[in-house]
This record gives sequence, C-alpha cells and structure tokens, in this order.
Amino acid sequence: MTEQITAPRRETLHLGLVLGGIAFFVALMLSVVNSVTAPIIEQNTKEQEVIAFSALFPDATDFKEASPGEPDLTPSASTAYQDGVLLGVVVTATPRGYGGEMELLIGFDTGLRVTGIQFISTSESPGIGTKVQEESYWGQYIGQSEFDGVDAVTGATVSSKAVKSGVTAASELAMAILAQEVQ
Amino acid sequence: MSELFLIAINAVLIENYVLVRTIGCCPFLGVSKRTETAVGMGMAVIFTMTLSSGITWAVNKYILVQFELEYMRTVAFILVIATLVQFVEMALKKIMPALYSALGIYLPLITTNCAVLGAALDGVTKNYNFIESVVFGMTAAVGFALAIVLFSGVRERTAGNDIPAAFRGFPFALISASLLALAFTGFSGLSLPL
Amino acid sequence: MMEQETTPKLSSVLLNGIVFENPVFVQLLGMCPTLATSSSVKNALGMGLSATAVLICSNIAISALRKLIPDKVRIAAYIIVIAGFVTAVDLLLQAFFEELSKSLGVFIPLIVVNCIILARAEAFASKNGVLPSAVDGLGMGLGFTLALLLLGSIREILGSGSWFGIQLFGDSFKPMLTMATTTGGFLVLGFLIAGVQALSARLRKGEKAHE
Repeated sequence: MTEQITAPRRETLHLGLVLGGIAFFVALMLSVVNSVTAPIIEQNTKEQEVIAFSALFPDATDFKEASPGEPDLTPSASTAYQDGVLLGVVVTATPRGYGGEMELLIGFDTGLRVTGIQFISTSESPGIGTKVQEESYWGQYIGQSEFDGVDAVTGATVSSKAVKSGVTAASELAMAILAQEVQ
Repeated sequence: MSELFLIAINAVLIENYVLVRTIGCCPFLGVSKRTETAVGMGMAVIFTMTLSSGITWAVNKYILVQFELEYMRTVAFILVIATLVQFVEMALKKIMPALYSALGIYLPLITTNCAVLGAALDGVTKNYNFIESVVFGMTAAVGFALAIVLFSGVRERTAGNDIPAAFRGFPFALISASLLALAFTGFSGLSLPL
Repeated sequence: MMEQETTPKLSSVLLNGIVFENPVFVQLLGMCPTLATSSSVKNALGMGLSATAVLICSNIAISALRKLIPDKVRIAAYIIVIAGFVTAVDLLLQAFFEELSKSLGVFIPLIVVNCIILARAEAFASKNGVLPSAVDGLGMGLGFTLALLLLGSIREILGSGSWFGIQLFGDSFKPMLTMATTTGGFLVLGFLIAGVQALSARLRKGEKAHE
C-alpha cells in the first residue's frame, strides 16, 4: 500500500526537482548577465540625463532636485543654477502619445518660457508621430509660455496633442516650483 | 473612482490590445471562427487576466522589488501565468466541462497569449497600484473579448461568401481585421485626462 | 519507446526554416510581434534578430536537455528556459542598444510568448541533436526576420516614404499614413499571405501536372 502512495509522490518530487533545477540555472545565468549589464544601463540613463539637462540649460553649473509635492506622485523636476543664480526649471512630463507613454524633459526659464524640449523616450509611429521629435516642430514651443497657437504635425494629431499636454502640465509644475524658489 | 473608469475606457477602446496595439493576435485569429467559442475564450481570458494582473502585481511588489530581482520579472510573471492557467483549466474541467471541451487546445494557449503577459508587464510600467492593476487587467481582457467577439460575428457572417482561393482562411481574416482596426482608430481621438 | 533520431541534413533544415516552413507566411505563427514591430524596417530588423538570438539559444539549451526533461512538465520547462534567454537579450539590448530597446518596448519581453519559439522547441529541439536544433533555430529565425523585413519595408516605404530611416522620395510624395498603423499592418500581411498561398497553390498544381 505504501508503495502505491509514495510512487506518484516520488514522481511529483522528481518533476519539481527538474523544474526547480532548470529555474535555478536560469536564475544563475540571469544574475550574471544582470551584474554585467546593470551598471551599464544605469550609466546610460545618467549620461542621457546629463546630455539632456545641458542641452536645455547650457550655461548651468549645477542642478538641484526640486520636490514641490509628494515625491512619488508628481513627476520629477530639477532647478538649474549658474553659480548660485536661478536659471530655470527642468520638468519631466509623461504624456500618453499614440504608441504609448512618452517621456519628455522640458526646460523653462524664470519667466516660464520654454527653453527647449528633450525627448527621452517615445514609441510613436516611425516617420509620422516621430516627426514631433524634430526641432523644426517642437521649436515652436521655444520662448512661449502660452501654447494655444502651436500647430500640430499633419497626420500626427495624437502625438502632437500629447506633446502639448505634456508641456502644458509641465509648465504648471514649473510655475509652482519657481514660486517656491522665489520665496 | 473616475481614475478607474478612465483606465477602463483606455484599455477597452483607445488602446485596445488586439486592434490598436496588436497584442493578443494569435488567439484572435485562431479562435474567432464561431461566436460561441469566441465568447467562451473571451470569458476565460477575462477571468485569467484579472487574476494574473493582481497576482503579478503582488509578486512584483513584495518579492521582485524587495529583493532587487527586477530582472527576473519576465521569468517570474510567465511562471505565475502558466500556473494560473493550469488552475483555470482544472477548474473549468470540473465546473463547465462543455466549455472546457469546446475550447480544447486553446485553453492552455492562454499562457502564450501575449495579452496576459502584456497586461501584467504594463501594470508595472504604468506604476499602477493594486486595484488599478486589477482593473486594468480585467478591462484589457474585456477589450480583447470585445475584439474577438466582434470579429467572430464578421467571420460567421462571411463564412458562406465566395472568396478567391488565395484569400481563403488567414488572409481574409487579416483583411477583415484591418477594417475592424480602422474602425477602432476612431477612438484614438478621445483625449482623456490621464 | 526509443525514438530513432536521424540527423537531418543541416542545409535542408536551414532552407526549411527560411522558405518551406517559414514561420510567418507558411506556419502562420508569431503574428503578434509581426504586426506590431513591422511598422519600420529598423524595428523589424531589431525584433527579428533578437528573436533569432533567443530561438537559437533556446533550441540549443532544450535540445541539450531533451533527455532530462520529463514529458509531463516539458512545456513549463521550455517556458522557463525561453524566458531566461529573453530576459538576457532584453538586458543586453537595454545596455548596448538603448534606442532599439526603447523603440521595441514591451515586445522584447513578449518574445517569451512568441509562438514560434515554443513551437520549435516542441516540434524540433526536443527531438533532435544540438547542432541541427541550432541550425533550425537559425533558419526559423531568419525566416521570421525576412518576413518581418518584407512587411516592414512595404509598410515603411508606403507609409512614410523611407527605408531604414532614409528618405527615398522628395517632398511631393504623400505617404499612405495608414500603412504605418495597425490597420495597414493587418492589410499588408493579409495580402502577403494571400500571395504566398496563391504561389504555393500554383507550385502544387505544377507538380501535379508533371506527374
């Protein structure tokens, strides 16, 4: 009787062990790959940030993180300084475009005018929605603090609207930060 | 509450998994010949995805992030899904054996349904909390079910039509699907405050 | 029941994957990523090569382990192995090909559920030696990539007038924007498969006529 009970149990144990073993080796391989790639990925993100930030405020000497609200809920923002003088604010915006969420970095000067837009990640339709990333398009925003007059890209209404809503939301946040800084 | 409603509308219509994001196509093209099977598949997927989105969210938050194992996410999620589908299979066999045999091979195939894994991963990248994640999973599945049922209606109606030989089967299905997708692009104009 | 394993000719395995049993056009597998990533040639190439890498690695691993994996849990085992390699490719892409990784987004981890890889594991790698399985992975992967490239080229040329990002026509060319969207994807793929079915029907008729 005992043999009849333990035989299927032994089989389940064997199955479990094989699967567990395979899973273990997969996990091992991945932790090796991860340890190699993780620092590179982090480096990439930091480099990209540095490049993007200096593109928005080339004269800035340092950036400080600004936290106008709860850090988990509001998008991240940084204030740009040149030798202690406030130049403006960089705000991260994540509007939803045609292909998914977009990540933008938008620079505002102390007069709440856009200094530039950096596209960190997008998944818009290539050749159509991606046109919003060309300076010939987003250059319309530079120097503006009101965005109603900005045109959309023909055939890329959703992507263009996304950029506009991102910039608008970012400018509201920038206003709040600048008000805080002035105090 | 309105947040959840927006997530639902988004998942069902604007970013419909099958017709807008082309995730979940294999079963979409494979199971949709008859409306009955399509409805059954849709319900099974809704059930699975609701559960899987919730469970994977918890696994992500309490295990992967806690132990800094984010890189194991894909492996962990697919294992959760595979196990879940096994349970759904066993449950269906006992509770609704007719549906179980109607779905046949397509039931275990839910494991490889891109939509299930896709929704689980999306819940993480969109930083949803538990409730949002579950609602998202459920409504994304509703979107999938909607697409597959609509499509089966089209296929049933055109089943008797005289289609040129080269177009029979998959090509006709794909071209019909493209028209359905075109219809859904109308929803992308809905700009919701998300 | 001992299955006699006959080693198939490597060149025919390769050709099989690319032409005769092309995963997309003949076997009609792997539709999800095909439709989604074929909107541009760059994405198509990136996805195709990534999937090929995973396919080759998983075929090798599963073939090597084929005598050890018990039949009852084989699907689960295959999935674990495939998921492992997909994650590895995902991490490597994030580190070394950042732009492509962001462009392909969620579809890289979705390679796990790409029916092609599981199907080859089940149909070939579990029944053949390591070298033929590797070649099968290469062949099927190339077949998949070529299908993606074909679809991607048509969609990109018609949809945005460029190929691999290089503008082909002047300003006077008004692209068919639908081609780059989901609608266009379904449409072009439908026509391509119709074409393949017509071609293979004609070939079969030709064969019958010669008998």
